[in-house]
Amino acid sequence: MKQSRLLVIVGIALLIPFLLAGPRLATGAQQTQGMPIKLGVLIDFTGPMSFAGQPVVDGVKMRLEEAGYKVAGRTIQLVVEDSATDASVAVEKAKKMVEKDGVSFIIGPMISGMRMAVIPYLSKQRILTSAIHADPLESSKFGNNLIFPSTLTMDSLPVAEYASKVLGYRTATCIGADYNAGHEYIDTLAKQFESMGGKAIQKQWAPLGTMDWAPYLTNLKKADCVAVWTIDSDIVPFMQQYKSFGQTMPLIMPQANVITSAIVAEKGESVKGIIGNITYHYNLDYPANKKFVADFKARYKRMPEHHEAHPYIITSMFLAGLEKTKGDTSFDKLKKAILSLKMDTPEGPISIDPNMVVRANKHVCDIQKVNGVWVWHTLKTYVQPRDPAY
Amino acid sequence: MNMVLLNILNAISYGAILFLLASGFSLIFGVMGVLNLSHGALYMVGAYIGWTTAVAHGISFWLGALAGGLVAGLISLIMEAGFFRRLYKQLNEQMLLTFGFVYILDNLAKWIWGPSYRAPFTSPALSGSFTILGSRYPTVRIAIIFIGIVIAVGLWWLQDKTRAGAMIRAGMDDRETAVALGINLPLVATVAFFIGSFIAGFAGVIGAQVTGVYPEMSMSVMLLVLAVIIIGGVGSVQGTLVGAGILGVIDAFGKALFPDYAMFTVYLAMIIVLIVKPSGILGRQV
Repeated sequence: MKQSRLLVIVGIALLIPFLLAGPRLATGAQQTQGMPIKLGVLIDFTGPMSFAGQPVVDGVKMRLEEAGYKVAGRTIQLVVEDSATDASVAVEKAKKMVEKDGVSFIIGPMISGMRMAVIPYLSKQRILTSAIHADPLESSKFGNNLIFPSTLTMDSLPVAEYASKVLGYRTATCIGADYNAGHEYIDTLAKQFESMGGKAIQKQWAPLGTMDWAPYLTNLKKADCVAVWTIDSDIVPFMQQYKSFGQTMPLIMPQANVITSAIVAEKGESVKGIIGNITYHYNLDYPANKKFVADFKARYKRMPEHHEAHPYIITSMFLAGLEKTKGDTSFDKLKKAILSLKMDTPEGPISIDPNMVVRANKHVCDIQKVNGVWVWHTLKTYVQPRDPAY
Repeated sequence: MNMVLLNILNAISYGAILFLLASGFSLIFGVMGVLNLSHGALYMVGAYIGWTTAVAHGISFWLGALAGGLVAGLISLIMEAGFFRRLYKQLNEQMLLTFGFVYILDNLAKWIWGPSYRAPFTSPALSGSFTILGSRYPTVRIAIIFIGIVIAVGLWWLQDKTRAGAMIRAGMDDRETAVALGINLPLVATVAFFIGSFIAGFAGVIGAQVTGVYPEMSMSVMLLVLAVIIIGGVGSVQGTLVGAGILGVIDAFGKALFPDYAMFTVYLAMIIVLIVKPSGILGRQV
């Protein structure tokens, strides 16, 4: 008798946490009116991509502060976790944000490989998420992923077209970072280049974290141009070593935002000559961007990069969606509201296709000295191009 | 033929950086038996100090290299006096402790200099390139080869031709007998620790001419140090030189000939040496 009573007490004690946590475990993290809405940011504060962590949070916070941390009469709480540039850590933190914190939307993580680990889990939990700097189109099949500012493919196509049709390049030798984003950027650029009559005569793949580019530069074949893409911390040594090895072939780059405006300003001589696809630079000529840059500079005493501008825009979309649902965070309503958005943003006008791919302007840019400062300079704007794969 | 010779130059310049990195570690491990996994972090600290001196304050690059070495050496003295002396021959504890120092130094670096990557920097005299075999080759890489040779000769002379070097070798070979013969081994160990860490910090500035500086570089360079030591053997300048040379060749030609497998070639060499000669090609027992 005593033993069975003990078992009952233990059983109830074990059940209590689940009963209390019940609302948080409900799929879609439906939150009742009056409770705060939780926005999650899952970004790297440690590991090789740690340089992006605080800037991403700065961009989100700026937008939330503009909104007074309120939308549709409800308070917004920000939940920030470190994904440590590690997919397994990102998944664990995502679980914590959903099951313990009860977030309704997660911005990040940043790297596409980590996102492909997190998105399926969030899809099962019916939680919306957004890329920060593009995702592969295949991630749209999960139905919960806002692919912002575009697919990985669309970071390549404009510059491939510009190189082929405007600059007249016919051959390209390619160097890419040896992981899924690097392969997709370079392979897409090469494929598009070849579809326009050009030829990619060589592809070399460098591991992430490559600092010594000598073997790749020594073995470059002669072509009309060099198509290169790697991550932020690897691209500057590449550029400096490229010039020091006396290479003079023009450089084209998908997703050239990895060369930030700060690097351009500091190392303009070393990096000029690149023509790249840029989603955001602070000189973009849109009214929303002029206001964003002025406000950002006043707040943070520096010029914004894509690491800040993208999360700012994503947060704007989240807030605009909640305004439409009048604060209802349920998955289907919020998703429908976000899909219906058309907004003017610091990157220009955006709209969202039914598969949750954002259509934003793409800017092919080069690096020029303007008023004594090296900056990204727009050569041609491609207006809300669509990924041809859908 | 041009490509082969240029790749050989690449191998030698990369090997020179690896030698500078690993020689200090080999000295410290050989003399003190301390597995200092924070050696890579000292390399990073040296690089940041060099960057601060040469770029942030516009003072001479060479003074920056000296300052980088000195600061790394001073940090190592604190680590040695405060911690390592208490953990003689306790390899597991040393590993954990030095791993902790990696995190401390990495986060301190991030706190002081921020998480952003710092571009490569060099002396203005080394910033050009010259024509060799019909191709342009960076002057800075030739300078790195030259510096590596000077340090290698200097360390070999210290190790083999000086009384201090004899004491260091005695300490490596038979610590108890060396002490019994009146050698002040704690002092020798401290000096060796300082010299090894100085070289690490100095190497950080020299290497930053090619790689730049970023907070997470400490673990990535530490993996390379371990690879050099495993291949070449610990405790001798010659062993470190051989290990660095082999790795430089494998890296340069691996990327040129087998780019898809470039990530594995270095570690494959490590595995082969561990199976065939676990003490390294020219290693001494420690």
